[in-house]
Amino acid sequence: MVLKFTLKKPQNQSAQQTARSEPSSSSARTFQGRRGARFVLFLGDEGAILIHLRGKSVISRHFVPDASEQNLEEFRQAMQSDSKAPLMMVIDSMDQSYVQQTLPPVSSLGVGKLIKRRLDRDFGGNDIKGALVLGREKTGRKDWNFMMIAQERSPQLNLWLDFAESLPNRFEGIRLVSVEVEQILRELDKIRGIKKKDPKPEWKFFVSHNKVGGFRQVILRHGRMVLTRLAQPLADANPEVVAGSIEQEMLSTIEYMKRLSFNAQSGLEVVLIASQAIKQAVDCRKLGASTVQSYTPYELSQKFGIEGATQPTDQFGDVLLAALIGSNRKHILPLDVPQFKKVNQYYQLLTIQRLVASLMVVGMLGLSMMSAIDIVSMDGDIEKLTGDKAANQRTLTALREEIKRTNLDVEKATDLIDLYKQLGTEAGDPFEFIEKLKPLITPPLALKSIDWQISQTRPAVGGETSAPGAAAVAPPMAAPGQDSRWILVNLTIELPGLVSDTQKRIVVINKIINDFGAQLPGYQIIADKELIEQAKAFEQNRRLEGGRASRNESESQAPTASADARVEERITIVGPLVMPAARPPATAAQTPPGANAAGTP
Amino acid sequence: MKHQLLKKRLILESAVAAGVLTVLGGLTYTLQSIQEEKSSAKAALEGEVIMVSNETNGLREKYIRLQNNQELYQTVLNLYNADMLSHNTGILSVKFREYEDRFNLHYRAFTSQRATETLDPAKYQRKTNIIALREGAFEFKAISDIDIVNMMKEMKKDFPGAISFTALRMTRENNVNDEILRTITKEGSYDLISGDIRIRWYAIEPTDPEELKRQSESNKRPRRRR
Repeated sequence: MVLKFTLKKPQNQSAQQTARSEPSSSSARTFQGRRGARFVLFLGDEGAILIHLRGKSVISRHFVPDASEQNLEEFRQAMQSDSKAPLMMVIDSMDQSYVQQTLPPVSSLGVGKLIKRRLDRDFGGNDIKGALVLGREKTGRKDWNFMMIAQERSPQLNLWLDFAESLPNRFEGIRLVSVEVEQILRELDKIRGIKKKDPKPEWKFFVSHNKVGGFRQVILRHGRMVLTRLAQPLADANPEVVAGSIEQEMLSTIEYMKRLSFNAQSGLEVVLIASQAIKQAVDCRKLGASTVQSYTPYELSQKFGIEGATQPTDQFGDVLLAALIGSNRKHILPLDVPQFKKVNQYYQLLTIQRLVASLMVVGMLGLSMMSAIDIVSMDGDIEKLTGDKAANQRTLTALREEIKRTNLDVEKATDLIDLYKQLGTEAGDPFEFIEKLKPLITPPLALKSIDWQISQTRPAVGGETSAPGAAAVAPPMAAPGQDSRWILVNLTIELPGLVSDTQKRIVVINKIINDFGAQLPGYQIIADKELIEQAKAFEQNRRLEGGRASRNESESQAPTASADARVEERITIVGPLVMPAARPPATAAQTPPGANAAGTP
Repeated sequence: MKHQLLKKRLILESAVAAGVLTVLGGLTYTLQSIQEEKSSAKAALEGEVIMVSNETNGLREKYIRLQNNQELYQTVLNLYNADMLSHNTGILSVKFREYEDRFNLHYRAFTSQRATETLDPAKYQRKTNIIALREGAFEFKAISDIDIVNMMKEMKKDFPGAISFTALRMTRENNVNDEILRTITKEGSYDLISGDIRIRWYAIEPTDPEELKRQSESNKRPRRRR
């Protein structure tokens, strides 16, 4: 038997038909469902419902009581309309096992392996299984709390899975109503404007009256599923009887909850989905609930904005739950079926391939687009530059013609002027030095030889030692732009009548050096090294023997100089080629020992 | 069965994607090539525009400078045309003969060698002309050092181009005595001072080989050796 529902335009309902207790909030938001089309196959012990979703709209819905070939063919035909839409299986049946377990406090990365091992150990290899991690204990060893869930592969379920496998549509896996209620209630809270941080009752009691499942009860503690029960639907259609049955089942569940340390003081919120008549007949006050939200399937679908899922007169929540789970963006526990593993891998490969290809296509198109824009832009630039070049060329030609008329070779003339000016800077002669030297070499001194040279770098002279007691004058650095060349001059000067009187020679040489220093400021005047050695020896001797006696002795030892005998002394002068401005006369500090203030011996 | 279909679809889609990507890659490559060509053409054109612009500006600047320095240019041009800015060795022979008579000296052959390559091109080279350098030296004997210094001063004036003295060595060979004075009176000269001079001789030289050849030929004069 196949029942096909036809969609009617929903009638207006008053707001009073919604929840008994509804928080009002301005921060309420609408439910954001998934886009695209998909099929949801809602399976229960009493049959199956197939809905075709497109976004948040239910396009069609079909009910079959079992997986007979005829019924499957009916579904197959229904699904032929959209073979690309994936199929999701939502199960709300009795043959489900829920076992809450604890695991030792291992790391969050390792707990998954432990859970998988425990699932393999505790459930059959053929079962479809998974686990919900409920969190860690806040005290003690901080053990992991998790709930192992298994769906037995009954013959009926196998038929549905084979049916799913035979379809060209992609199979998106199995979802369990009891588990996915968690996400539905979270979304409902958001729609009601309840934020995460807002105070909420510790316990939530979700009851839905379904056609294919029966009465599905899900208990959530702190927003996580801790207990679920499914009661068989009653054959009696009397709402009063059904409501009584629901109350009875709920009270039984409360008893179970007490084993989980339920206390009504900590808050209990009841969410009931049932027909209008049942909703009005159920008295939730018996449960001690702090908040009760009762919805007809139609009211809840309106709240979630699911179109076409229900009619105002609908009694069961199956279609709505299927639509909500199918259109939800997030799922609490997607269960995979091993027989679809390979197929899913192909689907994943296809998705990756499409994604990569799309990215590459977009990238290449973007690159091509940028290149095309650049080409167009550069065409404009090239055109402009060609114009500029032509204009500049015209200007140049005009200038050349103007110059040609004057019979001038501008290039050559400019070069000649530049080079001529450069020639003017190539100076270098000893004239200035010789002029300075002239007044220094006066009788009885005579110049025997002069060796004047220009050097590009500072010449290194032997020992760099000035005459005994003479102040060594370092030549100044050339100013920027000034000629930085150096001169090195070796003079041989004849001194008359001082053949071997070392002391007198030193005195005379010191005088010469002082005079030279005064005349050639900024130049280093260096006496002959041999003479310096003799002077040092003389000084040492004088100190050892001391005072006048020694001096008398040295004077007595000095041979008498001949009037014609001449001795030659070498003086080396180092300094800049360009002579610096004259300095003031030598100060007392610069006067060498052995010379008086006037610098005379 | 389903996975076989998916496998086929995967392969088919791969092929289609590869085809599309190949076509797009080709298009992208072509566009990139065109873009690079255009970019190169643009860069070349920019360079040409800058070159023409610089040439125009340079020429204009030179022309203005020339107009402002007409007098100097005339002087330089006259000197240049009279070969007074070149390494004119012909003039030197005449001048040294003159120095011998005027400054009572004997000199041994003036030798020089080209050293232009030691000069900084940025400072000493232009498009049409360069500054050429010869390093020269000669030895001399004379009566007086004053004559030598005066001769050097004359050399600075007389040498074409410009000279820089890099070394001067003078030694008095003997002390002046009656006999030397008598010899000088009798013969008019005596080699009392000997020494040598080193110079750097700068001149302007055209870069055009034809013009350089013409300049060299015009400088060729009979040289007098002593």
